[in-house]
Amino acid sequence: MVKIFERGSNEYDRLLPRSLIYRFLARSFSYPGRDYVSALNNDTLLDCFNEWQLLGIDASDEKSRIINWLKVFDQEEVLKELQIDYTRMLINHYPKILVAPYSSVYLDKDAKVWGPSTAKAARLYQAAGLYMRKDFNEVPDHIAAELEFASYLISEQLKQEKDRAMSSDKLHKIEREFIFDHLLKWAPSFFYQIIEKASTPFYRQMASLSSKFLDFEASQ
Amino acid sequence: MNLSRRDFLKAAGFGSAGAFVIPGSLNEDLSAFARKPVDSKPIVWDKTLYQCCAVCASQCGSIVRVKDGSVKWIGGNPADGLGGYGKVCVKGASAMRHLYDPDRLKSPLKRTNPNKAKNEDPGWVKISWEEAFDTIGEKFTQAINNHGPESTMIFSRPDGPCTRLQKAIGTPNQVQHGDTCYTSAHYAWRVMATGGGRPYTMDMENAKYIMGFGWDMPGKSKLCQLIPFMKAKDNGAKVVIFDPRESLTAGMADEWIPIKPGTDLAVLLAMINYIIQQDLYDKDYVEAMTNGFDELKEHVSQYTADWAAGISDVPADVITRIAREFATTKPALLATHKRDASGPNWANSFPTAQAQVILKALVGGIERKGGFFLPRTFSLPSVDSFSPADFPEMVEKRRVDGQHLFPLANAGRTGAFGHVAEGILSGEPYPVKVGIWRKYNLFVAPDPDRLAEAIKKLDFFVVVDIMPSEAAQFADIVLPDMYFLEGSGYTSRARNALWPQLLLREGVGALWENRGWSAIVNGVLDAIGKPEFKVDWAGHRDACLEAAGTSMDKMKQTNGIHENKEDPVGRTEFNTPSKKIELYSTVLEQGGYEPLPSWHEPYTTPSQQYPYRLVVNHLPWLVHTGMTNDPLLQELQPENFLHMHPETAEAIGVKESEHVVVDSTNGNSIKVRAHITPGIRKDTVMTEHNHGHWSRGWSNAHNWGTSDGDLMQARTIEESLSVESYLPCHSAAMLDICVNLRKA
Repeated sequence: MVKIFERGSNEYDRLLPRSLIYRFLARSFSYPGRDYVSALNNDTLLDCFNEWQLLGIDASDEKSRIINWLKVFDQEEVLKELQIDYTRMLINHYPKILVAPYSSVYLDKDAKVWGPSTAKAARLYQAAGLYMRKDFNEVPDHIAAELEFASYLISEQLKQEKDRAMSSDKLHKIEREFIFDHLLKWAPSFFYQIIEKASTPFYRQMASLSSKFLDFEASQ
Repeated sequence: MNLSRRDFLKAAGFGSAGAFVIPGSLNEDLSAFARKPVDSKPIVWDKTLYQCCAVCASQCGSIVRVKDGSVKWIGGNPADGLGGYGKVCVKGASAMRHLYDPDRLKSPLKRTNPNKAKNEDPGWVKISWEEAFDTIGEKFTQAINNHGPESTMIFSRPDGPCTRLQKAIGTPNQVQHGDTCYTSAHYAWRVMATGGGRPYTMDMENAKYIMGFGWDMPGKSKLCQLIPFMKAKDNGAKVVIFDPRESLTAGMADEWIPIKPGTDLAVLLAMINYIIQQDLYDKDYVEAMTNGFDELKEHVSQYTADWAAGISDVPADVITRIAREFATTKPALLATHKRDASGPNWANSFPTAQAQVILKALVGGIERKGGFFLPRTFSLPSVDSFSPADFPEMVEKRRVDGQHLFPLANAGRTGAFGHVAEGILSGEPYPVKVGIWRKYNLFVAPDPDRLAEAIKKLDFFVVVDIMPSEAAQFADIVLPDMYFLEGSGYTSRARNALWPQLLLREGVGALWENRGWSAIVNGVLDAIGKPEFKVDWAGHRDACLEAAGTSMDKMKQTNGIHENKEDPVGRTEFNTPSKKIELYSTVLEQGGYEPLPSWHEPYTTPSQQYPYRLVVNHLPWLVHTGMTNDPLLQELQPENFLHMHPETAEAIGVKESEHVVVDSTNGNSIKVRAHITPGIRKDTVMTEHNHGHWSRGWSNAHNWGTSDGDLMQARTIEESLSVESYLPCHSAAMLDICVNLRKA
């Protein structure tokens, strides 16, 4: 087990790109604000796509489609398009909310929010020493929170031993349990639905990138 | 300049990223998580909370069990001896599935598609509360400045926050659903006994004879009536139900009498006459507690049992036998609630309600054991006395729903949903420009499509709700309200209030960005530049609790209930000019209305073209259309049916479960499956309300069954004025239609 954390091992080299991708996706599946859209318009975005390449995942098609789409609009138009698409898919919509972003809706029998799966996610957050922020006005198992949590667990493992919240072993154990026993059980269907329901190429391609990444995760 | 991914390695910590906000970079702090509990929203893992159920208006004390962070179980509060008697009904026990419905409204929304229509996607986009309030402030202020305060409308029950908002703006247009729900009984009681509204408190358990006209509350799983009803039956009470169909209550009754719809008034008048003629009334009570008996006696002498039999299809000997039993079995209770015969269903509903108060009084059934009681409540400081304010004068008194034309009703603020569409569409007496609409469904109004047209005409429309309702489809701004399980506070029981009770409400907190109505009203007041009218609602709550001798903390120690438990002592004075129950209403006389109930026909009469009457029923596990998104409750009955007699089915040639088209005299039609049963009159059909959501925001309830509301006739103000002499409260006369049936 310990050898994973040795610098220079394959696993260690993958921690950074994996953590960055999770964090990038967490932001991308949070409600899009002006800061997010303006960040899309500089090289950061291109940087992020490189993380997929570092893991050996081909992201070139999605990358070019997203960049081409972003070129068509100015920033304010992009913001409006993304906000409308995000709201209709993940918050409220007429005809109806298209893709519920909560694990409980996929994993629990009655498909409500705050089900047993929500509790499972929240327990794992607690085990890792994290609490839900006061201004995070969402249910704990919202996709953005779960992706951010995965990123956190991985990035903590990259820190010097003395800076970590807890031992690498413990972090690694929570990470495996969270990703394999929880996130991978629902997020692939979630992203599949986004690919189906998105009206902007941006979210469709982001979901496709997410799917490919989760396939990679599942294969590890 | 930007940071590359490798800069992350150099970054000292996670909270010190500086000015850069880079998506996915590890040097920004976590947005969902806090590292210290002090910055966090605590998750309540396991807890038991006190609540007062708000699914229907019965206000049953309940207990909410939170396990693994969410509400898993809702049951009755055993300490509540007036509400659910330690139980909750199927509706109350289902509330958590509504709380955790993924379709709920989660944050303020703004529409981006200006086209408003039934099948038009509003193009919602999530906005902040600040942006929502800024927009509301701008639009409302514009309307007030350019068109006067009366150009604004509030569609809401007249609760504390709503009333405050109305007074602060100075608009007469606060419209609620009274005329579709309870006005007839409300105003009959008001002028004859209470000076206020009608009581919803019955001492049923002690009654020995229970009679009802269309009353079916035990069949609606209203535990505060079902449980004492069953106790009364156990104690040997006889139950007689007049109803065109065999309701659940009629099925439990000793006698079900299938009366012709819209004719209950005739039977009531004949009973009053018979009881007086036969000297069966309670002389001591009538002498001490009422006035106008002599006028009544003379007036009703024209209404014989034979005459009533011809109108109502109830044989004369049955009328006289039941009247005799009712008057001679003590205590006798004439049970009523809202949309039964004395509810605003017919053009003659007001005299029906008058006759019911009279019949109760004749047998000593008001403020006596086994009868009706006026509610016993704690005296609590009003909002305006707690937070006095210098309200602007309401210059324009005319209302867009025409209520000002009905002085009696206008004094009671019950609103006219039946007229409001006409007022908005015609722009009479003046145009309205902006509106805020809280927690109503479009189906509250007769002819909902017309009301939708009216709402579309407003320049700016705000909807406050917990679900994306039909009205929300037309909103410019949608605001997410809190569900009762989320909020905390107290309820002062007004239903079944045999003694004063306050019930503690402990919420689980807002799931998303939802805010309570009082906080929303304060936000609107700020936004329209009237912060001086804001109220410290938590302060008012605490002042009320203090006045009653308790507090939120103390109520936790007293099983979530604060009460002055004592059996009610019958009062001897009433809030009328004579301080007595006015059988002959001097208030009505002075208003130019008929002071005593007389027989009047309904608006409509069955004809060859429309030979049938339609009555509606609520399914016991649903409240209006509000819980229909719950798949578990949906399973109990696949859709709504049209109940009809076997001979009716044969006459129109349909078999069980086949589709029938129902054409209404209002010009609309609905299609619904037939259910054939002998438990209904041959000239009457029944369908269940609760159905027909066309807002696809209700993902499960959408297109589930058919809405009976489409068949209801919206009366014009002129029509209502034509019957004002005996219907002073502008009833929407919801059932006063005739229908034709054909095989689909």
